[in-house]
Amino acid sequence: MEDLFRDFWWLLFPIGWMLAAAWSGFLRDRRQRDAEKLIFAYREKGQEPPAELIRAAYGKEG
Amino acid sequence: MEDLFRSYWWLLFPFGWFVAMGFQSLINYRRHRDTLDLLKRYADSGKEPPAELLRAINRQEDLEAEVWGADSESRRHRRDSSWPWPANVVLFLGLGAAFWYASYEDFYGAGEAFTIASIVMAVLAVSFAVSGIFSRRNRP
Repeated sequence: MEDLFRDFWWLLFPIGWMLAAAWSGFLRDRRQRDAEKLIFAYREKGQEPPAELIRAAYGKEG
Repeated sequence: MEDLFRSYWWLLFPFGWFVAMGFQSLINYRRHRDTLDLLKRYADSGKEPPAELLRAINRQEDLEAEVWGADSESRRHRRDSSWPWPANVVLFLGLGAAFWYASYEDFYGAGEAFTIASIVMAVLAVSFAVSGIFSRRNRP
């Protein structure tokens, strides 16, 4: 086991990077969902959601 | 186990950094959620939310992008920063030259490893030069 670690310790970097990308993607998805939910809440009340909120949900270009 | 720690203690630094960035992302997410909660309260009470609160929504997006440096906005920010690309070329050429010298003198008996490092540095220098030249050409 220790030998295996000594041979392949560098694999921790790509794996760590993948985990970081997955974590960041997961949080981005949650953030967009939250913004989307709030947009729906605005629409249900017949109000226009703020432009900043739309940008947060659907990206920089809107 | 102790041997393993003695050999790889420095791995604590990159992994500490990974953990810190992950935590920072989580904090940014929670801040964003709290901002949206507050916005929802304004919407529920029928009041107009303050402009500063609306600006904060997307400022947090930018903060998050800066943590990982992953999106085009932060790349653009980096490209426009005051650190000019020729400085990167000089930096990596210098590192490449230092590693090449280390390989030539066979420091620590690890000449071949230093050769690989110097090649990597040279490739990075060329890559910074090419990307610097082309991004300048594409700029409106």
